[in-house]
Amino acid sequence: MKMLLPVMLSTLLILAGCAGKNGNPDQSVGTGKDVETRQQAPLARQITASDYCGLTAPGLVYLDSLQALQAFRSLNGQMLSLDSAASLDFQREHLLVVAMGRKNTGGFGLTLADAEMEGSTLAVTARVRTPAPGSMVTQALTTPCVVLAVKADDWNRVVVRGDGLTNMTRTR
Amino acid sequence: MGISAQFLFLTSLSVGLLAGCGSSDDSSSEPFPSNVALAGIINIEANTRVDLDTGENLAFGQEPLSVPQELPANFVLAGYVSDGEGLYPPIDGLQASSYVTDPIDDFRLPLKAGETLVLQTFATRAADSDPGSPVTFAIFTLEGDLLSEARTDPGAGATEVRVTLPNDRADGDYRVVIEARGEVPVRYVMTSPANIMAVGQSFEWPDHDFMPGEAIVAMAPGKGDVSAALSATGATMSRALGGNVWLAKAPSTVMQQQASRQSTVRWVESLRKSPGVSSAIPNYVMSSQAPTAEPLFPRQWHYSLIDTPTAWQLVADGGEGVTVAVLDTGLFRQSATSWHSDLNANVLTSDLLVGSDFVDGDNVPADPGNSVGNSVYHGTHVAGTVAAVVNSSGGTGLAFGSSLLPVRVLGEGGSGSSADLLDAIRWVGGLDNGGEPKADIANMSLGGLPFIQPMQDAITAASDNGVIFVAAAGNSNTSVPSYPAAFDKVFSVSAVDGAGDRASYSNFGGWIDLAAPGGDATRDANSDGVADLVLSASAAFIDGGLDPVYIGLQGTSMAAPHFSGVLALMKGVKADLNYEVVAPWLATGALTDSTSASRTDDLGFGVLDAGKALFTAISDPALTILSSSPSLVSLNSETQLSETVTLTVLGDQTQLVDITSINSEQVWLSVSSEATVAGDDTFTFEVELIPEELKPGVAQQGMITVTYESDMTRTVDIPVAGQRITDQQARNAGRHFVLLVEPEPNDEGLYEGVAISTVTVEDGQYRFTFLHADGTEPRPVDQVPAGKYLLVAGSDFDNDNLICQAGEACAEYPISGLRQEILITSDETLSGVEITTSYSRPTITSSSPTHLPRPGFEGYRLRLKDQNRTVFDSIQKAR
Repeated sequence: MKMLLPVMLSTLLILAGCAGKNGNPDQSVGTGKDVETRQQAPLARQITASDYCGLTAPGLVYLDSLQALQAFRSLNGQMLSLDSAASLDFQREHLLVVAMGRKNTGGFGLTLADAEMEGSTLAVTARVRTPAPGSMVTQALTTPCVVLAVKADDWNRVVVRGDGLTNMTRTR
Repeated sequence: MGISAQFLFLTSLSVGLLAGCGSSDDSSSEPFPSNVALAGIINIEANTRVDLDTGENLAFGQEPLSVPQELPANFVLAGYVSDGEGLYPPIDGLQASSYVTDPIDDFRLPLKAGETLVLQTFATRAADSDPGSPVTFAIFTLEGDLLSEARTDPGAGATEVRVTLPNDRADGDYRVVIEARGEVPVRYVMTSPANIMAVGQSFEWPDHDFMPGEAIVAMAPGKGDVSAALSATGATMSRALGGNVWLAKAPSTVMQQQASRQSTVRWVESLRKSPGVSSAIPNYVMSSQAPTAEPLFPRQWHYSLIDTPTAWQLVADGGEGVTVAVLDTGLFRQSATSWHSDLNANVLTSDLLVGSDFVDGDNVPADPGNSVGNSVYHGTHVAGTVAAVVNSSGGTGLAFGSSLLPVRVLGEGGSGSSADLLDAIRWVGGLDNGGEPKADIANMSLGGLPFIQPMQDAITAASDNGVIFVAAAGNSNTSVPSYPAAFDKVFSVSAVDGAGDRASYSNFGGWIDLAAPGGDATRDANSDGVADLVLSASAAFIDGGLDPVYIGLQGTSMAAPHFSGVLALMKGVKADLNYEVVAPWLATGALTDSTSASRTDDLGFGVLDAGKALFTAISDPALTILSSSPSLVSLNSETQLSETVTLTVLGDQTQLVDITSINSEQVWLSVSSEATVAGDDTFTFEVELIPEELKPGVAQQGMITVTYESDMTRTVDIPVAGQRITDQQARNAGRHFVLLVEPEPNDEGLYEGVAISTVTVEDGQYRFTFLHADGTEPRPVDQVPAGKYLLVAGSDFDNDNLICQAGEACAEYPISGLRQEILITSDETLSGVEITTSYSRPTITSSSPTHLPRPGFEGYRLRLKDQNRTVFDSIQKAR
């Protein structure tokens, strides 16, 4: 039974055919000898980011297939163009959505800073943008996140760290 | 590019969770007791229904239903049948549970000739290694005559069967019976035609300007039988519209073509050539230059909440000649020569924008969006609420005739510097070179600043120059003053939801001046089926490019521009309006719903009332108008078939009011031709939905125009929304067990439960709460220790103590199939987490409908880890 629902359709409408300013493909990181995997995938690279990802709780969403990505796209409340992610080679790279949860104002965001292997752990460092105390920001509620492509192989745990971010881990 | 095509209506559902709910950054904003660890909502997928005598219900004493269960035309229903009774085989750690006899499930539902229903069955654990019991699936007349029957054969792998109402049968109500034909119980899912075909635009307004497949046909007098004359074209007469005029419907072949609009046009052309037809035109969807006729107006509940339609009667030009500065992120620019197409006509010309970009100083206050990723174009959204144009596309702004001065003070990520804001305030106020102010009203949907004396001085000076400042109170649910809203000479606006109550996030305190709609993603107070978000202009990637759209957002950022817009309307009728005029009016309740001069910390002097504010501004004692209640009539076939509209005389009560006509051109609407005098100053009339004239699941909108004589000839336009079947509140996926489980399965591959909560449906939703562990031993089942968990929920229709099996409802955070850990701390509240439950699974495809979503995954056990006990007893209490 496959049901396409109105809400899903409307979400898909936004996302359908999106391209253009979706991210920064040059922002691939990885240090030391593990810059690339056996299949020449960078350890991690940033696909896109948004202030409105629809993820209301902080945490990681791991997408290891196109099917999982499509399920994620059905989440309510996204303003997130994921078309470039849809062209990903899932044999080579998977997706990791790092979510900050709901924030009361604008001014929050995440970007990829670094990634390295720590044994069998893929350690991702995120640069966390938070409004400085007393700074001026928009007064609409937000759900910021960053979408990363991470290498598909050779790790069994991923940890995301960042200043002001509770360490987030995910095992597979 | 056609504007209408560009206005994809992004329903608030699609962006509803943007700002949804669960908070981690501000524990002070939680309206929950401090012992609540996790609170949230489980939404139910559209059209979901449940068999009311599932095995789980029956096991706890309920009798099988003795009368057919009523179903709507569109549904996906899950249920349970069993011809025998017994015990499920025990599995690790689970107490054996029982299954009981319920051989027949009997339903009554509307069917059309040729319509097909699909049944899929799933073997329960009682079947052990057997393929499970067969089931018969049949359509009967209400009198009991068998019309169509099918039987599953699980042994042969045939677990999906279909029954079809024969083509020679009339449309109407029929009985559908599912009967177990074996000893062991079976779970099943039954699906109606609309869901099979995956149609689903129920919340989307059509962007076309005529009804596909419909035409208004006038017959030449004396040309004989209408039906015969048109039968050659395949048209059917749907409805007499008076005289020789008919509403004709196209044959199904026209509508089956992909481009049904084009095929409709070709069909209309063929009608014109038919003998006896004097004219044939498409059934145009009415459009007018009224703000209430804008396609998205019915979804802009926030305008009706503050009685804006009354205000618009009093200032028909929408604030023409008034300039509103929006100090924000700038505006979305869709091309080198055009701003957002629903704002462009109101934006000041480029020569007047020189100096308005304080972020990069390029004299073009365009919002480039975030440098990486996606943006919501905050300033565009705010500006749209103030002054989106009336152009038969998109929505409307409050002061749709006013001029917009975008002033860019916020850059990347919606942040900016106080120095830029100070400069901008001085610029708008005309302070630096002794010039004139650049605007009459300045909206600041920004905040977070401390008190800054030079900024206060600038605001005071600009206010003295005539600029009226409005600012968002802030979203921290605190009484700590937030600037610029808390500055003297700035109107500070808190936010209310669709019910007019303070939104949970909104700031409050002695420094709040008034409240206006800011939205609340967790509520649907006006029962329009979507969350109460403020709908306004934005941009999104569509087909590779950024295009103008409408989206819903929430925040005090959305509340402030409502007041700015109303001030612009007031300024339009009272040229000397300034802070010194407005402040006393506000304090005496002349601009809000307040009946006295009382104020509260939540709402200041009350919730903005645009109609009252305009009466106050006009201050014409001879003015007499009619105000409609409701100001928007929303009808649906399931819960609201008709409505009594009350027209109340406002203004000079001594003036005679004579209603001369009540008109509506919608064929799906029946409106009484005359109003009834209901009191000294009220009239009423009836509006009734004709559901047969609407496509199921597709919302339509129209307009009722009441013309009346009072101090002059006036009209009041009342928008009407009609929908055949809205199932929002009728959705039910059965009792749900909400579990927090360990993130990783144990050695046997089973997920260990840590806490459980049991919830039943209420208005189409489930609400759940978990508490912090408080040291009570044994730990109550709904208390959760700090840690990382997966949040899952589901039903147990066959009562085997496993939820989320095939044929049962299941929800996982954030969405099914993509479990994500949730961090529960020992002292904070994580609230507003939303998930959606459904019978469908992300991995299920039409070619493999019975596959389980995960290899070897059998569902979640209703058993808690630490106590090594089932939660059977607790659940039993809950049941």
